[in-house]
Amino acid sequence: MLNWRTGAILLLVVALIALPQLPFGEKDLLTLLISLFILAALSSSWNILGGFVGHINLGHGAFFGIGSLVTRSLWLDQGWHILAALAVGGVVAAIVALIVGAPALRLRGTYFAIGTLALAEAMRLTVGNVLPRVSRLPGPELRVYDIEPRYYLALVVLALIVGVSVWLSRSRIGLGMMAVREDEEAARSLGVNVFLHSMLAFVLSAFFAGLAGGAFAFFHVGYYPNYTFGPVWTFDAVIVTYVGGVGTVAGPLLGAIFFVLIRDVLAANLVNIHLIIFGILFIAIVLLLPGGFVELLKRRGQRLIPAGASTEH
Amino acid sequence: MSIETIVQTLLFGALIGSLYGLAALGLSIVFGVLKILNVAHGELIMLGGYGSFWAFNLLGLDPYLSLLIVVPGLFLIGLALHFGLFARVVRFDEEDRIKNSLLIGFGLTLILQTLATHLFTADERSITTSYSTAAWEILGIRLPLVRFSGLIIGIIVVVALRWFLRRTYWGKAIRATAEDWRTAALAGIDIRRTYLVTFALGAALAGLAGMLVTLQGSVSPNIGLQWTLKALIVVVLAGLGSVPGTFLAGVLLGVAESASALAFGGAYRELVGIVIFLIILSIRPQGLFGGSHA
Amino acid sequence: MFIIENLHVSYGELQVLWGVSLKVPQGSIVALLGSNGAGKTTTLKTAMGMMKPTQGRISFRDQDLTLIPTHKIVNSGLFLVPEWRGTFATLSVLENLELGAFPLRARPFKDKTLEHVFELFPRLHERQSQRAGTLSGGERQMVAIGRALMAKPDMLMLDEPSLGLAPLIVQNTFKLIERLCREEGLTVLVVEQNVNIALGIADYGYILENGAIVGEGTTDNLLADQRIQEAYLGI
Repeated sequence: MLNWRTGAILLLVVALIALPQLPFGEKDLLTLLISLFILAALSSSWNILGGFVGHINLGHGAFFGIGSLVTRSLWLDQGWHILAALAVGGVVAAIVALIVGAPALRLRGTYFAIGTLALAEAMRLTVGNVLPRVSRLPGPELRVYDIEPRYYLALVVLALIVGVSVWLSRSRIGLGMMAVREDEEAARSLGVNVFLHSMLAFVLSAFFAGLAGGAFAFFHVGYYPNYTFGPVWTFDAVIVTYVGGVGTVAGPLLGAIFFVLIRDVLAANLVNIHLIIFGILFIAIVLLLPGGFVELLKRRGQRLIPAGASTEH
Repeated sequence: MSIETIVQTLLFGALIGSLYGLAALGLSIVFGVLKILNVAHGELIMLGGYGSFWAFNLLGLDPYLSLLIVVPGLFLIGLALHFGLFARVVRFDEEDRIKNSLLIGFGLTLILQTLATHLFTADERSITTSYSTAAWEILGIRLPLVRFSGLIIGIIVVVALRWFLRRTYWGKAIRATAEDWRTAALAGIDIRRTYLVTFALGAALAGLAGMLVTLQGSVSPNIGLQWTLKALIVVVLAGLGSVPGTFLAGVLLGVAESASALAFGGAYRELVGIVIFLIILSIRPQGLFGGSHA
Repeated sequence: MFIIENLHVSYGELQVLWGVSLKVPQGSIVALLGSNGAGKTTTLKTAMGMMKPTQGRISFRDQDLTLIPTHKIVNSGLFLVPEWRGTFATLSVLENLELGAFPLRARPFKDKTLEHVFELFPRLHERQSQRAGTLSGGERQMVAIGRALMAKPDMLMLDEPSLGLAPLIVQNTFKLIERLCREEGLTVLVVEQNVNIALGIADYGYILENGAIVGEGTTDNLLADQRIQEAYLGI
């Protein structure tokens, strides 16, 4: 049934697809939207493991880094088509998650968090050591640099992850993941394979982080190889997800929109002040409103829509 | 490679390691007693570093003397942070407590780091005193005084902290609370105040470490994560519960880093600690932090 | 006089106490009896401020203790030896005892009470520098009671002091509790599943079932009550 909500979403998608062709679809706006899509995709990918299963991964940036590194070298150095390079980038990130997942997912709670933090730091240092700390500026690619394909690629990556998140949130597997989050013992007693569900979420989460990284490599052509491995990517993803609403599909998207907006509005005179605002918001939400913005919207919605008039269910 | 070079490098490692030990002491005592993990511990070290940097630059205060301001200052900041933030987390059961403290520390990291960038710029700052380059030389081995003082101060702190925890009423109350807060409450100990004092103590220790970090190297807004990670590695190495053990583990980490730098080149010195950390975690995924403080 | 009036307590959605009332007169021993899960431990925990009642009042010598933090209740002269004994395994016997004197009311008497505790338990004097975690169950019981005495309490609450101990040690423990009451004027509330031994020293008893008091009376009356004989004494 086509209700107002599905309609609005469809309209938004059409608008986003058509945007580059419209007169006001200028380069600045597209650039802003690309960084929004990438941040939203990265946050949504974190949310699969951190939100649905409840394992806090503080080394998520490493998968973003792997995706960008692999995509970039296949695309620029080996001359692959960007789509092929991107897919391989995501797959490599997923394979790394599969390998480290077995030992990492044995860690519980905080140990998982600090373990992944250390793992990502080890990867960042290794990449920084092994690969020269110079950034090759790819001349030919820059000369023909066209923003439109970057825009569409980031949009597709975001659409993919949102699609998978929606599917997960409604499927049996997603239900199993959320059972693990609420109470591992209880989930086990219901016949949920805790390890398998955690592992699947971890691999999916890494795969999409890899895709987001690949989209970033395509968008941002020149940077140090280990830049994308930095902890800042993890930090942004975690904070955006929590502020928007951890464990929900819409949360990371809302959080990312808010984050990019505030960053852009404030960037003109106060560089990085948005991080302070977001830091405070983040803490306030952890302490006072664990559901984030989504929770807030729901509460308002319940107040605005009279009982019984809800379109859900 | 001459024998002098090897001894010199390992000695430097041990001296740097005493800073790791000091950085870890505060984190360890807070983790052990409150069962919360403050990932903004490195940012408190950073604040301590800036405290002594500005005391030196604006007031002309000797960095060692600046401890008289920095340590109480960080103690107060610790009181405020616990009172305003972490005390709200302590109410939760163990798993939620630790998870929420982690997230709050995470947000705090972001705030303090950005704030420091705004107030102090992203430049690396260091303190250059008249004795900054002074060194003893024994059998061809250089012993820079400023670095050596880190080891001495570390040992003094270990002895003082151990005395405090073993001999004073408050120290015993802290150890009792670390072991079992319910029973401690039943023994008439004010748990909330014990938590508050312990957290502030951890912050004060971070401030002390921050001064030494700045005096021996430099401080900039983004050093926090690196120091939190170092402190975490040391805590995992040492386990909870022993003050001298934690300090010693720090020194060992410093030596291990230097040894690996000798073997594989300087680029890999940072990696060795993380590898040790990951190995220990994978061998003992649970129950790493058992025990109380002594 | 220690008074609990109409105490209601819930764990989240689950209500476990339904209007419990009881009185412990100065200088007497009162037993709170009941089977596992009846709500005995919850009653004591609530009395010590470790749980918040949804309704009801707790007072000790006309001082309202409801909703007061635990350490202040301890400082007002009430002390609980919990079911889990509550000895700090990583601390030495001496440190455990010294911590008992943590409440401000007890600190000035620390050395004197310590002497007294060592008189009562010469074994603890021998083992004072040993870690409490290395002691036997009976010795840990001594540490727990010794630490309670260090706090100079006016009233002692004991949660299942017989739990997990050999019969002889249980007997000694109850003899000691009786002596502390009769000779030193200590008021005692003892919670037990072992009805026989608890009524052996008590003046008065309450029966708790499913979170409510279902019977009370003097020791003699309770022992004569046929229902209690059937339910708890196996006669």
